[in-house]
Amino acid sequence: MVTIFILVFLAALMLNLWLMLSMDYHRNFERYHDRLHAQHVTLVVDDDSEEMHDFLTRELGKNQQTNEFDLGDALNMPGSFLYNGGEMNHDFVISEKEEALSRSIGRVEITEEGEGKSGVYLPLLYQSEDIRIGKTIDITIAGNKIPYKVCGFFNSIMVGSHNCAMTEIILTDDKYQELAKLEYAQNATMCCVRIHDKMESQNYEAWLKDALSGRYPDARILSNTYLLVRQSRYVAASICSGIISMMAFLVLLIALVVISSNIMNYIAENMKNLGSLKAIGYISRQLVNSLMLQFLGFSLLAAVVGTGGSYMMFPYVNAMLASQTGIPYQTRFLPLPLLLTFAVLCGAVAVVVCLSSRRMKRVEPMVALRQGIQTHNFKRNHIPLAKSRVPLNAALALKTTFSGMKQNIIIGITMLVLSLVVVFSGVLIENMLVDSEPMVNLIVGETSDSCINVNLGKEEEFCEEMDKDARVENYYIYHYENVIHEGGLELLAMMCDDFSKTSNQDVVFEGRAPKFDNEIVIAAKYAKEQGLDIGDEMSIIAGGNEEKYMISGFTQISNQLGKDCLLTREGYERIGELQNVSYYLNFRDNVDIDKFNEEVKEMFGNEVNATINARATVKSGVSVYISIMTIIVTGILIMSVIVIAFVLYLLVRTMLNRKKQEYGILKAFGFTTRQLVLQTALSFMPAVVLSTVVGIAGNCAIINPLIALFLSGVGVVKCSFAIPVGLITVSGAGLVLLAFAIACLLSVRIKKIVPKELLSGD
Amino acid sequence: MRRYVFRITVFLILAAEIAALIVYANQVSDNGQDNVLVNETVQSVCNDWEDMESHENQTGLDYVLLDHDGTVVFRTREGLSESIHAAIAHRDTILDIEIDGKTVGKIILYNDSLARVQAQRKRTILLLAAAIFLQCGICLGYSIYLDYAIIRPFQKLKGFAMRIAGGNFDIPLTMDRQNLFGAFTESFDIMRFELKKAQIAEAKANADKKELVARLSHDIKTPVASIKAASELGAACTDDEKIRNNYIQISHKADQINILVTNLFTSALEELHELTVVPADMESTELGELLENADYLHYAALPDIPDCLLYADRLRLQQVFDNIFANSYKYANTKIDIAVFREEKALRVVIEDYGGGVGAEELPLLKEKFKRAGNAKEIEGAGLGLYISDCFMKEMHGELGIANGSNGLKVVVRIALSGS
Amino acid sequence: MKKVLLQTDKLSKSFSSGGNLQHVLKNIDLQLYAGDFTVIMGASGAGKSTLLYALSGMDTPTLGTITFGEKNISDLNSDRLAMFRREHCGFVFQQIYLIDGMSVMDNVLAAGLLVNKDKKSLVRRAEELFQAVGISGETQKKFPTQISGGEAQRVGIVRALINEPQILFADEPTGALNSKTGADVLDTLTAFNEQGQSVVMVTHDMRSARRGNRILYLKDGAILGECDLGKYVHDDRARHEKLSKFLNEMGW
Repeated sequence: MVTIFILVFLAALMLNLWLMLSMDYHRNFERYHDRLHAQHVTLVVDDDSEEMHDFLTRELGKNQQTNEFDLGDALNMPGSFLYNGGEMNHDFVISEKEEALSRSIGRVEITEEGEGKSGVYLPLLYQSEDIRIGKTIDITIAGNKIPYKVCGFFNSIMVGSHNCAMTEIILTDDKYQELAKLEYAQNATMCCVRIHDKMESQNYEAWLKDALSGRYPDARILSNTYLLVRQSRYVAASICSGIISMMAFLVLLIALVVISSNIMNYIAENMKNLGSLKAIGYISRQLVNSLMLQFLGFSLLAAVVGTGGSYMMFPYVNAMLASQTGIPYQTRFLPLPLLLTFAVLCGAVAVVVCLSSRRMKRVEPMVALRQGIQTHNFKRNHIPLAKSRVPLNAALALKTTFSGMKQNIIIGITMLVLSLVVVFSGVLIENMLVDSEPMVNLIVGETSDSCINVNLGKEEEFCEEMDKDARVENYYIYHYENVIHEGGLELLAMMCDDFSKTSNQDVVFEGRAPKFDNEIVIAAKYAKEQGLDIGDEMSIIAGGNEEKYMISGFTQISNQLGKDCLLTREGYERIGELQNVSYYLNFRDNVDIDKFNEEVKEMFGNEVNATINARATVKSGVSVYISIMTIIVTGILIMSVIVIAFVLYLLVRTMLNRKKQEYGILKAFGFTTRQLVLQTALSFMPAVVLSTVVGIAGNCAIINPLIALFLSGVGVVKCSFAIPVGLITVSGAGLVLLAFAIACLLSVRIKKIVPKELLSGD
Repeated sequence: MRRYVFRITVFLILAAEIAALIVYANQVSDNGQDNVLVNETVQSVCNDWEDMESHENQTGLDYVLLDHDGTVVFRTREGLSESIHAAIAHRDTILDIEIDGKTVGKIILYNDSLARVQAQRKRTILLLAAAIFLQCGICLGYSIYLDYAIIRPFQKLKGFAMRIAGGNFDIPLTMDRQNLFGAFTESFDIMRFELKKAQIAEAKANADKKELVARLSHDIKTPVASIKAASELGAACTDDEKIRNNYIQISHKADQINILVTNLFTSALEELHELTVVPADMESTELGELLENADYLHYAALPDIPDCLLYADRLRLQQVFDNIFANSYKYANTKIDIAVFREEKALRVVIEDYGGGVGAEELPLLKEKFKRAGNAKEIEGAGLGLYISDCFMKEMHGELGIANGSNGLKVVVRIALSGS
Repeated sequence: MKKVLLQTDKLSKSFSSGGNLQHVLKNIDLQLYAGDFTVIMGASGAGKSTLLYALSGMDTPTLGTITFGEKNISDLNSDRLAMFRREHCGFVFQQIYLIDGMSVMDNVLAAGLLVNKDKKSLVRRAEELFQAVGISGETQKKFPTQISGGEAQRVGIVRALINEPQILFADEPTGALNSKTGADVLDTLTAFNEQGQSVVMVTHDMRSARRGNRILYLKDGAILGECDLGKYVHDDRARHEKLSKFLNEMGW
C-alpha cells in the first residue's frame, strides 16, 4: 500500500506540474504582454532622422491592421558581454531609462533596483553570479569595451532576452548621452506597433520591412514579432514540460501495474474467502465495488498530497526555467490542472481496478472453496536436471524463469522502457554535455571557431590573407540576409559559396543543398505550413527584386524558428546586393581565437565590421540548456533506479509469497539462504538481460527519430546524433547489475522462511 | 493459446494482403520527373555547352541534346528519342537550353515511366505470391497440428469412455500434456480424488461427534443439580406420602447421575484446589536471575548453570532463595558459595556460607514450624521461613536439605527437572 | 551394543506465543541407534513433530545439546544447519511437498546435486531407488500434480534417500494417504530399514507404529516410556499385543 501511495503521489505531483506548466506557464507571457501594453511588432532601423519618422508614420497609417504605434530613439549596435562563463553576443538596442519606462507601447518595468544613479539596467534574465547590482560589467560595443555599473534589472516582454532577435539595454541618462557622443553605436529609431490581430504579426512585419527596404535599401533593420518571441522564450519550458509529462505517465503506468498486481494477488490469496462470500450471496459487483472504493479513496488521498507537493515544487522548476524565459512568474492556484490531474488519476485507477478484478467474476464458489485457483498445467520440463550441464543453482533459477512468463513480460517491458531512458540519457550526455556541438548544429545549423564580417571591397584581399595564414584550417562564406517569400513570410536566408565546405553536412536532411543559383533549401516546418514540396518553385524578394527558385531540399536549422532558407551566394546575388559578407573560419588546434580576431581587425581596420568569437558565443548560449539537460538527465537516472527497484520489489514480493512453500522444502533439503537468494535473483536475469540488450539495440535505432519528434516544436525533423555505444553498453551492463543487486537485496527476506513450518503441527 | 496465435496470424496476413491490393489498386504511379534532378542536368549542360566533348552525365537521367538545327550534340545512350517529333510521341520532357537569355538548343529528357511501372508490378506480384504461399503453409501446418492434437487423441479417448461406461475404473487415463484433452482427463482424476477426500472428512466428523458427546456429559451436571434441588423442595413441601416418595426417588436418582458425572471429572476438580504453588516449566537459565535477585548484597559469585528445563514455580522459588540468602545475611554475614549440579531427575543448588553452621542436634529441627536455632536469640524472626520454603519445594516435587558443611551452613535446593 | 547415531542431552524447546512461553520439549535425553526403526508416538500436542525437527536439524533447541555422530549441531546457524541436513538427514513429510514446478526426477536430483556433483552416478542411484520403490521411468518424467498420492510419497522417500542420509526422518508419512497406499509406503520404509537404513518416524497411527522396532511414547514434551518390539514381522500377533499393551500403559 505504501508503494501505491508513493507512486500515485509522484504521478499526481508530476502530472499537475506538467499541466500547470503547459496550461498556464505560456499564458504568463500574455498576461505580461497585456500588462506592459507591449507591441506586436518591433522594428529598429538605423536612422533617427525626421524623414524616417515621417515615412514610418505615413506607412503605418496606411495599413488597416495598425492599431497604435510609438516611435522612439535608441542606439543600435551588435555587442557582447560576459555571461555564464561565455560571451553573450547579440544585437543591442540601447535606450535611455526614462524613455524606456515611459514608452506608450512596450514599456519596461524595473524589477530590481539598487542605489546607483549612473549605470546600466539589464534584462532580468542576465541576473547571475557575476552580474549583480553594484557590480561592474564590461559591455563591448562595436569592439570597444565600456565598463558599466549594474544599477538594476528590468523586465521587457518583447526585447528582454537573447532569444528575442534583439536585446534591450537601458542606460541612465548621463551614460546614454556619453555613449551617443562616442558614436560607437548607430542612432536608431525604435518603432513599436500594436496591431488588431496579433496572429497576423508576422505578415505585418514582412510587409513593413519590405516597405522600408524598398525605400531605404541600405538601412540596417532589426525586427521581431509577437509570435516569434512567444515561441522562442518558451522553448525550454516546452521541453521541460514534455519530459515531466513523459515521466508522469511512466510513473502512472507503474502505479497502475502495481495496483493491478496487488488486486490479482489479493484475489489469488483470498480465493477461498471470496468464494465463501459469493456462496452466501454476495455478487461480484459488490466485491469489486469494495475494492474500487478502497483504491479510489486511497489514490485520491495520494493525489491530494501529490498536487500539494507539486505546488511546493513549482517555485524550483520556475527558478530553473526563468533562466531561459526571463519572465518572472508568480505561482498561483490553478483549479483546472488540479481537477484534470484528479480526473486522470482516478479514471485510470478505476479502469485498472475494473479490469484486473474481472477475474473475481470468474471465481466459482465451489471451486474457490475447494482449492483456490484451478491448475491444469501440463508443464514442459525445460531444463531436465539429469541432462543439462548448467550448474544446479542456475538450472533451478532457469526453471523459475520459464514458469513465470507473466513476470518475464513485466520485466521485459520495464527494461525496455528503462533502456530507452539509458539510451536517451547516453545520447544527451554525449551530444550535449560532453560535446555540445551536435546539439548546437541541430538547432543553429553550423558552428565555427570565428565569424568575421568584411566589406565587399576588401573581400579578395581578405581571402588571400586567409589562404596564406597557416592557422586557418578552412573558411567559407556563411552569411545571413533577410529575404521575403512572395505571398508568405520573411525568411532568414543563409548563404554559402559552397555548401560542401561546411562542417555540418546534415543541415539539409532531405534532398540536397543548393548547388546552382536557381536553387533554394527551406525549413521543413515552413514548407509544411506553406504546402511546398521539393521540386516546387517559389518566388523570393530582396531589395525590391523578385526571382523564382526551385526547392532542392529541406533543412531543419531554426535560427528564426523555422523561417529559414539556404541559398548559394550567386543565388542571392540574382536579386540582392551584398554590402558586406560574413566568413566562418575554422582553425587548427590551439589557436587563440580572440588574438586572431584582433589581428584581423588591425589588418583591415574599418573594413572589418565585426569579429565574433563564435565558440564563446555558443558556449554562453548553450550553457542554460546544458544546465537544464543536466538536471533532466540526473532526474531521469534517479527515476529509473526507483522504477527498477519498485518493479523488482513487486515481483520479488509476489514470488516469495507464491513460492514460500517451495523455498521451505528446498531449505529442508539443505539449500542455504544464500543459494536461494541467488536463485531468485538469477531467475530474473534472463528476462532482464534479454530485454536490456534488445531494448538498447532497438532504442539505439529509434532514438534519433524519437528525439526529432520530441524537438519537432522547434522545427527539428530529423536528428543524426552520434550514439555513444561504449557509454550505453556500460550503462546497460550497469542496469543489469543494478537489477541483480536489487533483486538479491529484496529476496534476502527468504531468510525468514523456515522449513519447520512444513511439518505437520502437533 | 495456440488457436489464437493461429487465427491472429492468418487474419493479419489476410489483412496485409487486402491492404496491399487496395494500395496497389489506388496507387497513382509516380510518373513525374524529378524537378531538382532535371534542374541539375540542365545547369550542368549550360555550363558545358561551349565544350560538349568533355560533358559528362551528372545525374543518371537519360537525355539527348539537340542544337538549334535539331542535330544531336550529345546522347547518354542509344535508343532514346532523338528528334522533337519522336520525343512528343514518347511523352518525353523537352526543355530549352538558355545561355545569357538566348536559346541555343534543346534537351530531351527520356520518359522511363513505363519501365518503372513494370518493375513495380513485378514487385507487387512477387510479394503477394510470397504472402499467399506463407498463408497456405500456416494453414497446412495448423491442420496437421489439429490432427495430432485433437482428432487422434479423441479417437483414443473413445475407447476409454467405453470402458468407463462399463464400470472399469482400474485402467488409468494416460494423460498427454500435448493434447487439448489433458485438462479434461485430469479433471476426471480430480473428481475421483475429491470423492475420496469427502469420505475421509465424514469419518473424522463422526469421531468429533463422539468427543462432543463426552464433553457434553459435563454440562449435564448443572441441570441434574437443579433437578435434585427441585425434587428436595418438592419433597419438603408436599404432605402426600406417595408424592414425597416419588420426589425422594427422583432425588436419589439425581444423586446417582451426579456421582457418575462427578467421577468423570474428579481429577480435573482436584487441580482446582492447588492454588498456592503452581509449578511450571522454567528454563534453567532463569535460575541465575533468581539467585542474583536473592543475593542483593552480592556475597556470592554466580556459578555456571547447566542447561535443562526445570519444574518449578518461579515466584515461590524466588521466595525460597530469598529466605536462604536472608538467613545467611542475618546469621553468618560472610561470603557465600553457590554450586549447581545436574542430576538425573533434578538440579541441585548448593548454597554454603562461612558462618560455622549450627549445632548438629538442631539441624533436624530447623525446618519445623516456629523452631529457631540457638544463635537466633537476639535476632528477630518467626521461625517460619525454612518451614515454608520446605513446603514450597515439596509442592514443586523438589526438596530442601540443610546440613553443616565444612565452613558453615549448607542448604541444598533440589529442583525437579521437567518431564521426570 | 548398537552404535549410537544421535544423542540428546536435556533437550528442551520453548516457543513464545502471544507473550506466553510454551515449553514443548522438556529435558529429553535420548539415543538413536544405527539400523533402528524408531517410532515416536504420542497424543496430539505431545511435541512429536517438535522433537523430530529438533533431532533432524530443522530447528535449533532452546536448551540442551544434540550430538549427531561426533558433531554438536545444537548451536549451528541456519545456513550451517542446512549444509548439515543435506548430507546427513533425509525427510519425508506428511504433505509430501514435492515441488510442483519440477518433474519427479528433477525433484530428486535437485536435492541430490547439492551433495553429489557427479551427475552420472547420481542419476544411476536415483534410478535404482526409483526402481526399488516401484516408480516407472515414465512416471519419473511426470510432474507431481500428475501422479497419485501414494506415488508421490514414494518419490518423497526416494528424494529423502538420494544423499544416503544417516537417518531418514519421516513425519506422519501416511497421514495424507488412504490405508492401501499408506501400507505401500510403510512397506517401502520397512524394506529400506531392513537394508540397514536408520529411520525415525513420527506417527499417531497404530498400524504405522507397528513397523518400528523401538517405540518411544511422548507425553507433554517428555518421553514417558519406551518399548522394544524387536524386528518387524508381518502379522505377528504377539508383537501387536505387546504394542497395544504398552500403549495402554502409556494412556493412549
